Amino acid sequence: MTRKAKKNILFIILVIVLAAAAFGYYLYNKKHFSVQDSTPVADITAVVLHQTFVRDSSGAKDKFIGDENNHKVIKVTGEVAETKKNQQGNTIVLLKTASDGAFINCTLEDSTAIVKAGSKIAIQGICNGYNFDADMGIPGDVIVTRCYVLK
Amino acid sequence: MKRIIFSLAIVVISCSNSNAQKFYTKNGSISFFSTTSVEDIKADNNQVTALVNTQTGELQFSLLTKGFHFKKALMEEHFNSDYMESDKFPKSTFKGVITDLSKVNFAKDGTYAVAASGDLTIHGVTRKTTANSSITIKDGKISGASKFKITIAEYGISVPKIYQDNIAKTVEITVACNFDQKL
Repeated sequence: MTRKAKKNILFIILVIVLAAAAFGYYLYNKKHFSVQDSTPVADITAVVLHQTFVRDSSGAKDKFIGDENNHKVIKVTGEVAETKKNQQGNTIVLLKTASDGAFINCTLEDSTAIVKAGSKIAIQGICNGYNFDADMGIPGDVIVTRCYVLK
Repeated sequence: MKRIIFSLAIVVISCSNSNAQKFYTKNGSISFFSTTSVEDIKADNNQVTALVNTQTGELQFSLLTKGFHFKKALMEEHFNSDYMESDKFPKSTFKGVITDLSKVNFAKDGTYAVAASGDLTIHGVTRKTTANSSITIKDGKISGASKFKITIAEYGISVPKIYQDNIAKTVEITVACNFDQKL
């Protein structure tokens, strides 16, 4: 092998190593996707969303919850039952469902949104599932996180 | 007939009394923290359903694994797919009791050190766990806090060799819940 050929091979190896390192760095520092700019996989009312999880948990999971590598964004419309702050200062919006004490539990990522109880709004966020445990005797909520209120 | 109505009334009253001692939240916080010489990893879940019974000491928690949010997207992906397998094991729970409930005076403001003991289920594995905790009463409102460590291998969570320097074998769990709803 000529000296020039060796140099070329070394150069190619160096390029591959640098490209791999750059890709690794990109993946490691990759930001979360924008929920606000995502196209929702479902446009549904709070009442129907909750009923779907209660009646057909498996079907609801397929429709509204992403897999282990990708979240699914949904759009939910409904009447605001209550708003409050969690311990991190994020706004929580509870959307009414047909079941007493059960809500679509939305944690807002948008800190500027102003939401009033009794208003009808549309929210876009990541659906994490239905948190219900029969042992507790508490009505289960459908959990939606990183939410934005749609104008 | 009067006797039957009276008996039914007693049953209804006694049921409502036992329920009146239960307080809960659906937006409690649980976070975990892993620290190694390579990096610190923290994730928070602020949609924890938690229940405390002030009469019996019953204490329960339930959270959706996919609700943990990380600073870095890649960490969140690895957490859900490689470690927690959150499609297969979508929930983590704790079902136990405050073992020394008599230390708490629910009628008097203050922070009371207690121990919580019960079954902690993570990644489909249930283990007996005891954690030092505290119950705080302020203006009649109840909040609870705890900090304890778990060894992830004991819950069947394995870390690939390539990441073993990045993820601690023992991670710290922090719990903070304001039981602001009455059942």
